[in-house]
Parts: sequence; structure tokens; C-alpha cells
Amino acid sequence: MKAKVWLVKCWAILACALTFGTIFFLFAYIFGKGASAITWEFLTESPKGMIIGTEGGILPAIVGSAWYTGIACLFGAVLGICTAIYQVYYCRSQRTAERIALVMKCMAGVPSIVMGLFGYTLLVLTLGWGKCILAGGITQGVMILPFIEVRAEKALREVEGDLVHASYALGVSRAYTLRRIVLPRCLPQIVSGVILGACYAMGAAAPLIFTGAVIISKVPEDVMKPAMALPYHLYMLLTQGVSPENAYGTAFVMMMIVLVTNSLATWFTWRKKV
Amino acid sequence: MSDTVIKLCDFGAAYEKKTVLEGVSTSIRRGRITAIMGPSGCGKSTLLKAMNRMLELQGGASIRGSIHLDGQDIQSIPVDELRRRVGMVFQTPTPFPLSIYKNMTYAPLYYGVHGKQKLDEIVRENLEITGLWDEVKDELDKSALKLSGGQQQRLCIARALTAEPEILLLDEPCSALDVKSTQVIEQLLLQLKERYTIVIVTHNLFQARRIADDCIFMLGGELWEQNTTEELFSNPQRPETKDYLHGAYA
Repeated sequence: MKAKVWLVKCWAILACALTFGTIFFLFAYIFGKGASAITWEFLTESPKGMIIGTEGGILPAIVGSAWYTGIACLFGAVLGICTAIYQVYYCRSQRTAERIALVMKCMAGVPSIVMGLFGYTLLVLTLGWGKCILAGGITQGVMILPFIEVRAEKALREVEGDLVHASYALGVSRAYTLRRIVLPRCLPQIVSGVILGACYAMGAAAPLIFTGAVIISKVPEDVMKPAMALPYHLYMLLTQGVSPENAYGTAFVMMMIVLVTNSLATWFTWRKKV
Repeated sequence: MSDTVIKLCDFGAAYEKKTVLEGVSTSIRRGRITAIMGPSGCGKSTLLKAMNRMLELQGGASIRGSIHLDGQDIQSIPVDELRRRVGMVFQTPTPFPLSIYKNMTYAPLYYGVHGKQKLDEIVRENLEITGLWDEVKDELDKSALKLSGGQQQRLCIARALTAEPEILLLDEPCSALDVKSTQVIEQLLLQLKERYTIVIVTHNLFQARRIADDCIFMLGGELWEQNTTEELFSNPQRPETKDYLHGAYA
């Protein structure tokens, strides 16, 4: 019996060490390899060189990714949070609620490249927008919508029923209760859900391949024009064998952005508990 | 104005298929404190929640029969208006996670009261009624969650009063409080009955006896016996009531 406990304990510690080790190695490796590529020029200039990407920087991709992610967040957050509010506070029929939940689950399960295909068919071709930031952003928005919805719904359901009932007992409407009690109460979790969604969108190249991302562009100014994006740039640099060193640099920048936004999300949720 | 404020006609309620109330017919009289008592699970809380239709918020609840407020069927009154007229205080204090001041202006702001002066007046007046004013007047911006349990419950009563109800329903308001706070709240209720009709659910016989004018004794989802408090306690008509009053169901 004692040996068994000891064995399980060892196994757990080993698994833990392995997980942390892998993550640590991943970060250390990319940071180690990429750090040398990071210069002021790399962060503030456009890609240059005989083969584009061997020299210069990635500024258009950084700004482009910010645009894509911003639009994705706006789109995903508005729809996701509204769906969650409907699910928890307005939906009267059990069947409708179950169906919405099912749709959300299915959406969450759709591979991101298929999302890209969907965006391409609907936005790029049918609506005739062509490849552009808006099409790419919305496609990513659809991708993170279920991600945000699930977290927002969970946050809404965690608001104490007593408080909500106490508010109703004063004869005030659901909308007023939501605005004054419920949303302020779960805002930190919802915001952190949106930020996590942003990280997810930021790292996804697949939805952008058909809908917005290009090999080279200026620093984007117009949402109806295509633009570079960090993950796609990374993909191009590596698959075309352009410059592995700059690819690591790009990965480094991307991971730093994700790390910072992620910490922001954690801080947001954590702040509420204190 | 007639003497009866709330009238129940053959009222029944069920959760899913389980009947919790059956054939309750009674009247609640104006300007008096009516206590509803009975052993756990007798349906006393359900009866109270039916009076301002809070019962509807519980999934799977269904009702039969009717409840009239001043002669009007409560199902035909818009639910928001009904709940404004029939305020409610819960078993555990439910202060909103806002400042004391914002707790008190929560309902008035919704009902369109504007202007700091008017709001200040409402806050002060209702906190004074509940005796909380002197205790908190210097820290109205403090979170209501920082108050003691008894203070929180008085705040909830004061908050219920800001909606200017005619009737106040209280669901075992003292069960989570200590003796001292209970005393304060009982005194408060005795003052309030001059302006409001009060219905209080309690499992505490002594409390019912101390403050109630009328008593309703519930048993197994039925209204077993109803009378003035004095009459019910001194001369119960049915043997089960007598047993209950002597502690048989404790």
C-alpha cells in the first residue's frame, strides 16, 4: 500500500516536471534563438531584402495583427456576451437554450482552417470584400465567439442568485438588474475571457490565410485592404526557408505580446478576488 | 379602504409535480403583522413568495387558485409593479455589493427620482426609520458588505422601503441573526406596522407571539389554523396546532 502511494506520488511529480520542463524549454529555446533577431530596426521597419523578409523588420505584421485581433475581439465579444446574457437571463425555453449551447459547442469544434474557408466564401467572395483586414478580423471573431460566450456565460451564472432576486424583489426590471448588479459583478471575468480570446486569435494563422493575410504590405491604414499578420509572416518565413532567424524573432515578439496580454487577463480576474 | 389587503382563494402551488401548497384560503389584514408559522417544509415560505410572484423565478413552480391584492388578481398586475407594491426581505441579508448609499438609491433611481437632494432625503429618511442612520451616517460610501449581519438586514429592510411598498413580506428575517439584532428588528417591525402591512414567516414561536397580531399555522402544505395571535396561542382549536405550540414538531 505504501509503495503504491509512493509510486503515484512519483508519477505525479514526474508528469508535473515534464509539463513545466517542456513549457520552460519552449520559451527558453524561442527566446534564446529569437532574442538575437530583436533589434530596434526589427520592431520598427518593414520587411526588406532581395528575398523579402531576410532583412528589415516586422512592424506591418505587428500593427496588422493588432488590427485583426481588435476587430476579432469587438465582433466576438459583442456577439458572445450578448448570447451569454440571452442564455442566462432572457431565454425562457429549455430547448432553445440547449440548441444554442449545442451550436456554440459545434462552433468551438470547427477547425480554424474551415473557419477561414467560411470567411473566404462569405466575406471575400459573396460579399465581394476581397481579402482585407475586416474579413480576416470577422473570421477570427467568429472563431473566438464560442470561446468568449462560454466564459461569459459561466461568469454570469456565478453571480449569486440571491442578489438578482433581491433586485427583482424591488420591482426593477431585468435590464436594470443586469446593468447595475450583474455586469459590474462579473465584468473582470468577462474581460479576462475576451483577452484570452484575443490571445487565441492573435496566434491563429489559418483563418487569415484566405481572408486577409498577405506576404507583404505597408503598415495598414484601411480595414478594407489586406495586411500582414504575425502568425502568417512566421509561417511564410519558415515554410519558404526565407530566414529562420527572423522567424524566431517573429515568434519571440508574438509570444511576448500573448504573454503580456495573458498576464493582463490573469491580473484582471485576480484583482477582483482580493 | 377595506380591511383586507391580500386575499387568497383556494391557492395551491407545486414544484414540478410535487404539491407544496393546497387549498389555502385566507385574508391578510391591513396595518397588522401577520405571522406565518409551521414546521419545516410546511410551505410557509412558498406561500410568502407567491404573494409577490417571486415563486415564478423558481424553475418548475406552478400555481392554482388566485391571490388578490386590493381586490385585483395579482396575475393581472404587471409583475414589476406588483413587486414594487409588495416588498420582500429575505432570510439571509442580501445587500448589493455597492456602497450603503448606492444600495439605498438603487430602487429610487430606477423609478426616476432625480437630484441629489431628493435622493439624500430618501436615503436619510429610510435609514432613520430602520435606526441605521446614526450608525452609518458618516460612512455612507462604505461597502454595504462591511456592515454586520444585523445592520445588513436592517439595510435590506430600509432598501425595500425605498420602493415605497404597501406591504412588506419577510422570510425568516432573523434566522441568521443574533439575539440583540433580532430584538432590534422586532422593535422595528412593530414601528413599521403603522405604515405598512407586514407578513412575516417565522419558525420562532416566541417571535410570532411577541410581534404578530394575527397568526397563520401551516401544516403539510395546508392552512391548518388561523386566528389572532392571542386567541391562537391561548386557545388553539385543532390538536395539531396545540402540539406544535407545545413543541411537538421542533
